[in-house]
Amino acid sequence: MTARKDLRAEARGGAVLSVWLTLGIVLLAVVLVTVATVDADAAAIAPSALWLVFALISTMAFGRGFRDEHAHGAWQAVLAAPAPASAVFLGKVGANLVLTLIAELAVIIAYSLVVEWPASTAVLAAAVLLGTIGISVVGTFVAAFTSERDSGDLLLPLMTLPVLVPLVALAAQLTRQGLGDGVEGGWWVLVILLAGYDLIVLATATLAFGFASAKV
Amino acid sequence: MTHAWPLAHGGALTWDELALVVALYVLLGLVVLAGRRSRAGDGVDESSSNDIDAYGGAAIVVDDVSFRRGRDWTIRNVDLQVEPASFVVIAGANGAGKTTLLGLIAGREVPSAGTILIGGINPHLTPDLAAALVGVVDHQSLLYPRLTVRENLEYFAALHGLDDERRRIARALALVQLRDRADSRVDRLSHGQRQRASLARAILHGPRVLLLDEPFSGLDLSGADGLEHLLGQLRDAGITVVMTTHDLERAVALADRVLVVAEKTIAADIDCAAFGPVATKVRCREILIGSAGAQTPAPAIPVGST
Repeated sequence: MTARKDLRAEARGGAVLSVWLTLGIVLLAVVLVTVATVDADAAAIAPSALWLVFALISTMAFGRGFRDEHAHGAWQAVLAAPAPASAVFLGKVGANLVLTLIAELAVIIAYSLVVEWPASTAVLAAAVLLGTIGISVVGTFVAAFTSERDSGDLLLPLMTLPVLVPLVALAAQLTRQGLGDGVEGGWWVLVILLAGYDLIVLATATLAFGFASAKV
Repeated sequence: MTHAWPLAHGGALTWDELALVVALYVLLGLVVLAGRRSRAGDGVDESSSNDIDAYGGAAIVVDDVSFRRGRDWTIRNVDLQVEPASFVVIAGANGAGKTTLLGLIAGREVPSAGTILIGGINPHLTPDLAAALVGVVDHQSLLYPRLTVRENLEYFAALHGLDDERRRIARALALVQLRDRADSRVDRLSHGQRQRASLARAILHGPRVLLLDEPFSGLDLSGADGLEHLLGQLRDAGITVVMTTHDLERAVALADRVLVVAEKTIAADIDCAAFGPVATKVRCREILIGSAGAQTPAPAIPVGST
């Protein structure tokens, strides 16, 4: 119910996709142009650049989305209702996941058309899905508690990005195999590690959200 | 250092590095939890219970409640019992503590000392049970602006786990007279319509207690008259209403009691039926002006008005 509500509100002019459409594309274009200008190996740098952009822009988008909720007090009313906090959290993660996947797929398709076509779409899809799950979970959790504060726009990336370092590293390696270098023997290890990271953060964040949003 | 696992091109995460990341995440969680818990005040009454009989069946009991933010006490030693199906207005100057008192009753803040019971239930010990008893109308609409009124009500009905959602929504919309705007987005409603939509959300789950914080604020005469009529209907339906307002005229027209908050406590508890409307207003003005330190004399009571 929460995911459906969020997706419906987003379709009517929400914050998540608007951040992607503006900052996300501009930032990615700047990175790629810079890489081309210095004659660097785009295939080597692009995966890391992509995931840094994904992590940063997603974090900002989630923060804006929560500021909208806080602005009219609706989030306060949601937490005051008897529905389990964990269910509300998972709903928000689900909606953020769908929206971020849409934006990331658009970016990757654009990259593939302009720079290089993926060597393995299956591996690339796995990287995008598993990486985005982790970003959505961590970003949503931190955004829920920092966006209300005056310094929330600083706190959010400060608290989110360090936690996402292992995910970004793993996802970038898997993406590099999927994009251009070709699939190598150890790709399944990266998939397992990413899935493990997602499971750990999802379980931890879901449990912690209920405690952290309680009023005692 | 041994590697935790080999990765494709020699890049590897050591056990130490992995442990550092996990520790960082756990630390993050602890910081968040500590931050939430430190807002809970430092004197929650551990002996508080859900025993309504101890308080003679009152709908709301505020027992020696105090609240502070940091070092500043917002309210101190407030005692209050509100009978079921009564209409109580809390009046007071800006910053007197009206909204804080309402927030404590609603369960949004935890008292630094004392106990609050709503229908015999402590909202800070069992917030889910209390949520079913209480509806809140705030300064903010507590609605999603890009959703329609109906979509907002459907979502909150789902949050409350209501079975007969359609009937409840239809009844709430009829009561607040918003049936014709049910499919309009909240951000396209007028202020008065948004206030009514907020009221519909607050009464959707059939609360026994309705808490309203300055509901007439920003309304034009027509909107305020409409809201006054609605609140009267809710009072007549047996809902216990507690409302803060600066509008003494409407307060006196609706209320059974007027509580005046001044000097961080309840300075006066006026029975409107016994005092009469004019005397009630005069008495409120005396206390409010006196607490503000102003020298303006109270107006004379017209002959024959009481």
